[in-house]
Amino acid sequence: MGRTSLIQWEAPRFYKSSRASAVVFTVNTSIDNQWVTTASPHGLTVGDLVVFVEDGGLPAPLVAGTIYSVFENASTNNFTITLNGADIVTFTTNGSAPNEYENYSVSTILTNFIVTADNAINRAFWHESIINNHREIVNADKMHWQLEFRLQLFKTASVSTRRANFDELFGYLYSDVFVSRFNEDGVGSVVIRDSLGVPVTFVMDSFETSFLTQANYEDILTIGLKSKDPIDLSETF
Amino acid sequence: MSFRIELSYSAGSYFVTDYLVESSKIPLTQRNFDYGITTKGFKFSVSQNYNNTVLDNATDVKIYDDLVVLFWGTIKNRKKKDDSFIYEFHCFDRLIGLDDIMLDYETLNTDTIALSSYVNIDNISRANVGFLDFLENVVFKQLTGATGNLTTTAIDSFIILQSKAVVDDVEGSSTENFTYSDLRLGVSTIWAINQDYAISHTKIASNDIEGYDTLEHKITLLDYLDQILKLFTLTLNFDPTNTLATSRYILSDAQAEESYSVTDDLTFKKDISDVLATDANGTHWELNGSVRTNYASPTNTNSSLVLLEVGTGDTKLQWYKNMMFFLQGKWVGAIAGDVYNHTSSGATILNYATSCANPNDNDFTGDSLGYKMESEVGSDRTETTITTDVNLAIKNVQLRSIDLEDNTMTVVEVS
Repeated sequence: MGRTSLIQWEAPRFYKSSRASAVVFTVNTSIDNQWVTTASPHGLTVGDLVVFVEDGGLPAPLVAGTIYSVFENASTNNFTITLNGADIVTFTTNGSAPNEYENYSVSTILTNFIVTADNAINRAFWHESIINNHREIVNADKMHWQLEFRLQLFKTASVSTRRANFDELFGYLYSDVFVSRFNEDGVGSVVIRDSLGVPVTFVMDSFETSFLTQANYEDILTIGLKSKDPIDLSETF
Repeated sequence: MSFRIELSYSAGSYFVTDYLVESSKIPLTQRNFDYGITTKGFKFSVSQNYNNTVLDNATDVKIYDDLVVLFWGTIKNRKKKDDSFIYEFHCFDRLIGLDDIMLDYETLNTDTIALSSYVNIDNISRANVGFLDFLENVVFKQLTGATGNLTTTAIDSFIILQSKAVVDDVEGSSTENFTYSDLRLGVSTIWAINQDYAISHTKIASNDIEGYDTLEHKITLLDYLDQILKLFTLTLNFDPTNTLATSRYILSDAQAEESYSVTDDLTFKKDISDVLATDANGTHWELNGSVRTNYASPTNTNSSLVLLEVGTGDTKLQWYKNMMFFLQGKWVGAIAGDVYNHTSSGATILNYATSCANPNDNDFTGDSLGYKMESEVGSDRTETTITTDVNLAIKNVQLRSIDLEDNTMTVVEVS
């Protein structure tokens, strides 16, 4: 998380924790050792989150329950996945059918935004001895992370679209949210993970509107998110 | 003042002065209104920046003024608070450890018969020991792990009883003085303290008296010490001459109150309040005891006790059953360990009078024990609380506590 300022905040997307029904997939390394193949069009877009469910036996190196990001939408029935946004997962076995995945189905992509906060919530403070006034800085290794976006809804063309966008975002208030964005190379969208590789669960805890000018109805929506669990900063993201 | 705080456990001792974030007042001297013992400690917090292994395992805490130990506490509660990055501790006066040690034969007899004052067969054919010797080298040894950690020199020669001329007064004088050094304990009677019967330690251990639980009636060394301090109106302090290497306590006479005079410009706060007597009519003791032979027989099962009441008030003060004191004999030819005889009415100090020519409490011109207590608790007093600069020399007060943060001391004295 310490290098987040290097990561492009391009097309950030919020995902709710709800998932769609399981979809059967196959892997055939003799055709392409990076493709996840579905019988029907998968309908996924770059950055979408998927979790694999073991049934017959997952292809290596997939791990059941781990959240992966869609790296590229190779074709209607094929897609590739990544953990870090840069390296595509390469399969070494085909696994044993049947196997399934579930994708996080409720998401919203942000547009016309300014990132106003992307930082740890500072928990460092002083301890001072009551006997000799010696001071010790207390720097908590594990800090919560916060994100804040200022959305310029008025830049959206139609009023009805603005309103729909507003309502859609309001649906995330106080919900668990995964946040995806492009990685530092701007290649693939990836979910924000902690130092252990586990996606960070945020909660949207603020949702405030303000106005540039009353006459033009140029309203701004400020939304804030905070991590549910402390994030270990002693290791790099 | 150069205060320091040290945590310790089996692995070693560690000064955490730089990391002490907060602390309540440190009680250096403390006693109850009735002179009974208190084991209050204080709460303090240490930054988690200090070695967490030490903070997780510390069992003892000491407060120093440079090299002098002012307070020794036992940590009874700790809480690691990650939100504020501190460890919260609650310690009690180390004396609380006496509450875990029973006053019984099994625990204390080996140390008792090893005392230099121990007499195996006295003039009444029973074993006895010196009271101060027992207190110093048996009771406090259990707490500190070594003998010699209680200093009694301040009271050794203090006259607690004075007899009028009696027929066997050997010094030819009209009176005989008895000091704390003259008090002796019948060894067998010690183990029976607080039992309803005059029974031996063997009978107590077997616990086979129908309808009566001997084990439940045992008291702890803290109970015993509390009774002693009340009875003799003594103050127990941590010896101010303690250094890093020692850990002594010191006994002094509480009724020799020190008047702690403070000039106005150094009095930061002063409260005066009246303390009403517990009983306008005074108090009295109930003394229970029996003949010493009853405590030695392992087969004696139901030796009833004889009650003596001393004092005139309506309020009865506790005196443990079977807790008896004997007086070192003063007659011609008496050797160490010879004691005045007892009667069937109980072998208390007061029976010295009974055994003399005039069996009357009034034979003693000095304070009898009951009277001494009555005069203190049975009269109105004034309690004065002063907050001022730290002065470690003052000690004979009801309470003195230091504030490490403000560098002030609060003194409560009763007059």
